[in-house]
Amino acid sequence: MRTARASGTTGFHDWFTTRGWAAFPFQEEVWQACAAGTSGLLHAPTGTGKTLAAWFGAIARTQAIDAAGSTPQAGLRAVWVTPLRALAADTVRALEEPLRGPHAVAKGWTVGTRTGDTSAADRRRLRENWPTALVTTPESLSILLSLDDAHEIFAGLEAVVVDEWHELLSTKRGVQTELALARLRGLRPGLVSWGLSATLSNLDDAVAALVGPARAGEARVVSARIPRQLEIETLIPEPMERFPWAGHMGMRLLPQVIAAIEQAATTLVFTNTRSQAERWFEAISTARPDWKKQLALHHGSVDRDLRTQAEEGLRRGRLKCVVATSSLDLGVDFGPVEQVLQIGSPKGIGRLLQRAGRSGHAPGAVGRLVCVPTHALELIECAAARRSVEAGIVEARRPLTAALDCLAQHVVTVACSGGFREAELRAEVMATHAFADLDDASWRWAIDFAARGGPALAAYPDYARIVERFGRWYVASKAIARRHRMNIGTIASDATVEVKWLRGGRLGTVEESFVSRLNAGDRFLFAGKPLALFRFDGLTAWVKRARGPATLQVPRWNGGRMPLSTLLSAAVLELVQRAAEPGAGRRVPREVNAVLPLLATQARWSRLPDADTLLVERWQGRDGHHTFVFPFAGRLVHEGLAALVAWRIASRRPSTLMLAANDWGFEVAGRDPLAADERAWRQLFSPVNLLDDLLACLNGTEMARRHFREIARVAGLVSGGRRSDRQTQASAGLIFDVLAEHDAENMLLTQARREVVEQQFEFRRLHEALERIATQEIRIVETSRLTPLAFPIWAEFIQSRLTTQGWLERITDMARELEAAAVGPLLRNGLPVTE
Amino acid sequence: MQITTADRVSPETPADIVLLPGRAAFLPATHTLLVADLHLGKAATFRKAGIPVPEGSAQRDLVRLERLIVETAARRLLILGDLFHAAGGCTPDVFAEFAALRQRITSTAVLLVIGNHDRRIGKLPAALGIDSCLRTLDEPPFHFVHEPSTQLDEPGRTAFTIGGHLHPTVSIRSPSGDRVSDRCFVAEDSLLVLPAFGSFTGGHRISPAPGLRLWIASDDGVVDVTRLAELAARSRR
Repeated sequence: MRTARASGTTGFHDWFTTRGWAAFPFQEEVWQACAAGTSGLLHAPTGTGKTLAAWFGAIARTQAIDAAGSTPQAGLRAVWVTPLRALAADTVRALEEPLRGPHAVAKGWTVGTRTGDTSAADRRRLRENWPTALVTTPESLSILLSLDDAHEIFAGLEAVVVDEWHELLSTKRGVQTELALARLRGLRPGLVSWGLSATLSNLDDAVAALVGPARAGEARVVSARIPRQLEIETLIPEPMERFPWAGHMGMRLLPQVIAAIEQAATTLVFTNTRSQAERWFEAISTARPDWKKQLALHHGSVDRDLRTQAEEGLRRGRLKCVVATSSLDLGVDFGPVEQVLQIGSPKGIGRLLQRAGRSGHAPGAVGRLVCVPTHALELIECAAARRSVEAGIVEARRPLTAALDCLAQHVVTVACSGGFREAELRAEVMATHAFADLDDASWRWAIDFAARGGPALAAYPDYARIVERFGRWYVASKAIARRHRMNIGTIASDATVEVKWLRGGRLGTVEESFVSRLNAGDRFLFAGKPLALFRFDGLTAWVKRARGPATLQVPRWNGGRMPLSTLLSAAVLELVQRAAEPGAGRRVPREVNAVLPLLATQARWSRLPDADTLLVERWQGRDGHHTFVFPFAGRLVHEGLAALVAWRIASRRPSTLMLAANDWGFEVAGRDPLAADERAWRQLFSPVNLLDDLLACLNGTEMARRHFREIARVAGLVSGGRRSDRQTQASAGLIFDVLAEHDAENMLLTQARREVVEQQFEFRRLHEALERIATQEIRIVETSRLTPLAFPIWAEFIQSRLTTQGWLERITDMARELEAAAVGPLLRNGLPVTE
Repeated sequence: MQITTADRVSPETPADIVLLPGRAAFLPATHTLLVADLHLGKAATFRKAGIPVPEGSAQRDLVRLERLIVETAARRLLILGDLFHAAGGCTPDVFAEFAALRQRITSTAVLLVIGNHDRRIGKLPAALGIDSCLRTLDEPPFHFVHEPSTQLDEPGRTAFTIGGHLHPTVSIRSPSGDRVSDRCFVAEDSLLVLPAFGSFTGGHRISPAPGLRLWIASDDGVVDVTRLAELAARSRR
């Protein structure tokens, strides 16, 4: 038995056999590659056995090393990185399973976990006795790497597995993971690393980011060709004539949703935002009180205990339905889930696939997803997404590069654990995909920033986070190291407030800005319960159950809205265009057929956009002059275009303009009419000077300042939400202002601007959009009312402002406007205004 | 109590309290310049904790303060608390800069009403040249404090109270969607709260309410926005 195992993967097959399973060829391929010391990427749909492929691979590698050496190593041998700490417990369970019983695949192996949730006592216990395999998050892995004895902890490490790599890939946490992997390879040059990923169209990038560009050539990409059968359909409201012209359906489809939930044993209902999840949970539970005990709500702000209960209920098949956000996108599959309902447009093909894949894991079952549009135009997005899945198209996810805030953090991390030589660390960092092109200036800046806080702090010799001694950099003090560990990788979020029952028990967290607007007695909906605020003491919102009928406010959480992907945008525009063709009714998908009346209204009042024309609508409302533009390039690009156009207008004539955008187009509004002729618009959309103009327009908006929050936190400029050190509490906005005034060259400010342009505005897509517009005809239409396409943008409300006016001038304009607005309604009520 | 705004102080200004650009107030009767919440050394406190923030804002604030003293020819400078941010930030440099300012304004008396931040620092060095440190100051018709009672309309309060501590800010939004936010002076029947003078300080949003007067207080101006804030609040409903 022992010899069989040492010689390869026989033991793994035995284990599969005892379960009545047979290993898939892709699993065997990963085991063999791992055992031979090859790194790589495994991509497969969810629920096809990726975990066992990588886990047994890590074991095989370790066993191969031990078989070659004289004495088997003790301590930590494998690290399993998971993107969500909430998944850690499930992962541990899954990894432990094959270690038990007479057919255990490895003798004496243990699995432990170290995440932000791990208690101080458990952390101490871990340090005394490391498990063979550790399940952790990118943040906790960085903390481990910052410990004095990191090199001892990882001395016997043979394999690292990064689970759900596609989720981390295009984020700062992905960069953090790349740096951690580079550090681990520095400590253990023979380390084998594997990424597990859902299907992506740019697997090459994903591999390069995981193993580093230099090793990407030797890395193996393994694809699991397991056909997962998926059924995707869309709920279509009937009769269509009763559509409100503006298209908002809200919960009109609730009866159909209830019926769909009724006919399946277990349903997962996904929404795109937490507020939406609260509303739908409330609506479903009000409609079906008899399901009370079988319904649960799951989103990132609900307390962990409540979330765990929901997950347990799902796993055991005790629940009929769980309403969730992306909080349940990932993780171990819940066998009993028969179908998934997607409320609102899925916004991306990959996301639709991911969510659909959460259903149908019972043997022989089929994955089933039903799209539930909340807006007439979402029917078109649902159709486009469904058809793209059927055609086998999926989006790419681009890894980030040159995130200097992550580098500044990493430099201190490494300094904390025994220090570093500059040339060595630089070479190590440059082996990552994220910093492959790191130039001298940026590297010098990162070291200087960690050492002295950057050029602006040159005058303060007492300030230092790292110090140089005999050619090595070390952390300046134990206190700095402690603070650094506390701050590592805290994900940027607004100040949050804990919500607790007055009689005891936690419900979760809401944003401070929401609670601070409430008065005692105000009612709101949270964690699926009607609540009344009893008292807010600055840290905790104490609540009681709200009684009696009353309208309930729903908290809004910032962030998390995905833009429509480029692929989907193009597919949507194509469908809109086809809808305009004669006899379209029979030739477009059912979903589009249902919105033909609305599109006909759009065509009558204005026109339908198509690939060859850019539609610009001008409309004068009571609150000013509005211009709507429909480039179909996704919400983020539209935000960038709106800011660009507004800047180009306002830099010529001092003005204040209001901006709004959705996935189909954007709006620029002001007190004065905007350009009315095609030539002027051509210039506004010119790709000439694009980058300069975009960077310049950030000065007129709050965008860079707002974006700075995350950077400030990663770089250690603001602390991670702990209230204990009150004297060093300052908002990132305030620090942004101080830096902008006294350290204008600070690279973190540069980075904030660059990131807004590149990520927030998706510069690459924006540039492509302008190039496309350059080839299009611009059609300017004056409309006498809001058209079906314009209304949803108008209803988004103002998302940002761009101004080139001084505050006094703006106050004067506002006074004029407010006085004028006040006269109207007041006079109508017979109450003339007297000054 | 007559409160007015002016770009600069003239002896004939017919008011009890003059609100000045740059977040300061002036009392003509006693030639007193009022400021609150400078939080000097806040950036140094950050640096001590390993957070790289440059000091520039404090130096600039002291320059602004000196200019105000010179322009108003104030006989007294009354600081309504939180002159310094924290013990950890009271570096020799921070004290030296204030002491240097003190030596340049010899004809002005400097009084400090102790704020909650000052209290935690303990005894301030004599070299700073602060003529007296007070818990509160009563000079009818005025009562000066750092932290005015949170009960704005505290019954039985007779003297007109002037304080700081709150760091008030106001935000005004017009129907077309423009929004201006800044620090502000806020007043009630018998109370005036000054905005934080220090540039590196946060704020506390004041919602307009009947009986509340608000002035936007920026570096370069001060404007009564009571009616504007009221109209804006009403138009949102």
